[in-house]
Amino acid sequence: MDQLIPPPALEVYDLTKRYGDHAVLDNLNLKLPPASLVGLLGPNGAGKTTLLKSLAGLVKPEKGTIKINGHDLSTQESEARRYLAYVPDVPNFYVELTVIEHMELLARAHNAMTDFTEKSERLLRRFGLWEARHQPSFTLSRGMSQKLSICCGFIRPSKVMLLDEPGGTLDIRSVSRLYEALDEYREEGGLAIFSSHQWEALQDFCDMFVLVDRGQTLAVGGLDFLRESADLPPEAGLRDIYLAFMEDDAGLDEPAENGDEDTARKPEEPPVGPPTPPVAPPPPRNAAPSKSAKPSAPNYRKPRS
Amino acid sequence: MNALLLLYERKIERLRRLAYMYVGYDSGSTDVSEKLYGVYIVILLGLGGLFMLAWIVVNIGKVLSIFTVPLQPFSQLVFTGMALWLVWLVFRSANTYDLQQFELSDLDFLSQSPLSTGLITLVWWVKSFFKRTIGGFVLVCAIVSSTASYLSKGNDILALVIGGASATLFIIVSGGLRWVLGMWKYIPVRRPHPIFGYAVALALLVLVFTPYAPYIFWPATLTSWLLVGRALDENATLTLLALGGMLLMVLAGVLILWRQGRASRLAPALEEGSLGGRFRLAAKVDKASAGEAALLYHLGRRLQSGRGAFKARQAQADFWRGPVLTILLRQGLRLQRLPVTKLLPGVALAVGTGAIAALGLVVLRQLNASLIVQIQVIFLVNWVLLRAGVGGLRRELSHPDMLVNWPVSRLRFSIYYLVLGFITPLVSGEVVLFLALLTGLDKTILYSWQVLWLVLVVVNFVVTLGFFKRGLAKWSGNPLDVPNAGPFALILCGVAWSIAAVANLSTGLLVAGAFILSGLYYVRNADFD
Repeated sequence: MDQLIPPPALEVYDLTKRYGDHAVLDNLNLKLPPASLVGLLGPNGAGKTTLLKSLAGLVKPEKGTIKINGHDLSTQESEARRYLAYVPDVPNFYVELTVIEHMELLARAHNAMTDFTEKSERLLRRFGLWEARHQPSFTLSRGMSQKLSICCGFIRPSKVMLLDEPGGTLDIRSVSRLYEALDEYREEGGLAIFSSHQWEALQDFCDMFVLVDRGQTLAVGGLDFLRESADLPPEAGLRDIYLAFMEDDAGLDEPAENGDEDTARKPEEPPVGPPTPPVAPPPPRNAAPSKSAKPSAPNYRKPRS
Repeated sequence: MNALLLLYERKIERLRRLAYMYVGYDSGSTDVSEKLYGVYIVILLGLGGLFMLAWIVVNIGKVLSIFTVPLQPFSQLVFTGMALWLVWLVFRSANTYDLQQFELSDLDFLSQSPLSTGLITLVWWVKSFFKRTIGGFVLVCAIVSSTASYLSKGNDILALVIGGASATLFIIVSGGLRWVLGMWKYIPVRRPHPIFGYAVALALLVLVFTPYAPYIFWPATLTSWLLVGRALDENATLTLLALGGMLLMVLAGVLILWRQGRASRLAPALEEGSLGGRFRLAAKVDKASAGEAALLYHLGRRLQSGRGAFKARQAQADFWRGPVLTILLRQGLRLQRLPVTKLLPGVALAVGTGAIAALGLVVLRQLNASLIVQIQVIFLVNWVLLRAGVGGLRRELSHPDMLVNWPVSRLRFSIYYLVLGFITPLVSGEVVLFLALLTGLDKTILYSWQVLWLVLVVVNFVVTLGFFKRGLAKWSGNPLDVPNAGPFALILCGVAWSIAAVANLSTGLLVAGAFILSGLYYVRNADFD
């Protein structure tokens, strides 16, 4: 029976990363299956970007093991990197290369030139970069750079894709196209993990969520599982779940009066009063938009049941 | 005036903090021991600097005395170099771009400050002299002047001071020339086409090699005489006249620049400054990225002028596949798009480093130069070699997101780029040593150095790799903070080279082999968790 369960695409054991005395990641553990889209959630400074950078092998943790598709990122780095794609929040391209050349180089490095022409055209057209394909990277706007970064992530074969705030600078249509592309990636068996603060999109789209705070995973699971774990009613949305898990951190972002950050992070008394009630019930996942109403959000594709 | 003081105070404060950070001095502490530490640092740096300067002068004098350099032709050589520098400035001023090198914060400040354009021009002109390269030039000139005096049994301390002063005045005069010509484009009058500037530069270039050159390039004439020619004839009156002449030129330069600044339009200068500032900021601030900023300028200007460096490129043959060949393809694309002014010096550095260093070490050995001279040359060679070797890798690491998407480990990535960095000096050194067999140099020394050159460059490669492995393990993935092979790498390489160079071949090979094996062991087994 065990043989039917696919091995995890990403495994993280006891991941710890410190900057000085401050543990950004503190014995973090995580196991994520293939063919899924995972939203990474947490307050500012929770360690999301450090976690993604550690998973990408950009930041070496003090302790812990990361396995990408079964390959240890520390001891089998080359093998692990073959399966790993990374889309950073602020891309940093080669100034002397054009849009298409960046994609071509990555495809060549990964020996993925067989269908490069068709695949690159499809990607560039999907993200509205086709006309700019021969432009040097430094002429791209911030949003276009982000699109190129996403295209670079998709042009080469991978099993795990890490995306750090991928939709932050994208226009609405491009965000929609990104989720389409991610959906196809999932159908091909890929695991995509992305941090984002676009709650509605995440709620509609992700199969699973990883809630992190203070460098630790607070919860991992689908929407229903998280709702049950937080003792929330069935109509509670992702935002409510998030607030329920994070309510212990009340005052986290508020500056301490005496300037002592540690005091601000560790309130001596628990917060008084009832837990934060759900602000508004989310729209039903399968509700069709009214034809007369002007669409206010992109038409995201729904996750597979 | 207050605005000016505020502007400078910020910069001086930044420098002060940087200096304190380097020496680890806490200026806020009232502790007596901390204050005493400050006094100690000042004395150490001051006395240490003086001692090093004297030591350098004496040693360079000794080296030059080995080669018995005649001062008269050397003075002519210095004059020609300075005259060529003046010609180059005329050429550069024809296509000067972002002359002021404003920072973005400066631009924000200037756009709201009541300062006049004349004052801004003068202030930024003065600021443009505070560069390490200019400091290095003045120091080298002072050392050359002092050495020349030392060789002709003159007063080398006085020559050190006069050399430094004359070099400073020459830099100010030549800087003034460049700014006066470069600021021309901001004056609302019709100006000649840049091609005219290039033509003038070409004509001046020809004139450098005519008998009229000393009269046309008189700043170079006076400076070269003060630096070297004076050592042959220590005439106090002539010295004072020459220094006075240079001072007068400085004053004239200030006046002309002031007038030109007043007539300039600030808006286009600020606009270009903003563009340059954004580019520099985008290309980050360290040395590896400074080259990227220059490339960015070049590509941006080509694109604006419609000269297509970015036409649709035909897809390369399928041969260029896999990590190694793709890295070569990437470097090929980069080289195609580098400006000539960047490509040629880069190639010259890579080829020249190996060729000159290998040949120089052989010549020193044949001349039986003293140990101290050989060791100094070895450390200099290693410094240049390490810089040439790690440049490419550091540049690539400043694109961490591309690094992550490359299908190789960071160690292997480092190996590929370090091989690319060290291969050119290695090959050029070997080729020069091979060609030197045709000359009258001692063949035994040449044969042993052909072997030593190979293993010693490999020592540098392995040591650098070890330092990069360590640096990458602790790297935060920030492109502003790319790892480097620091002074310890230089010391390690320098020690290996020094032992190998002064001992016989077998000892040299033994030492180099020990360094390589222990380095490889370290790279393979060191764990930085």
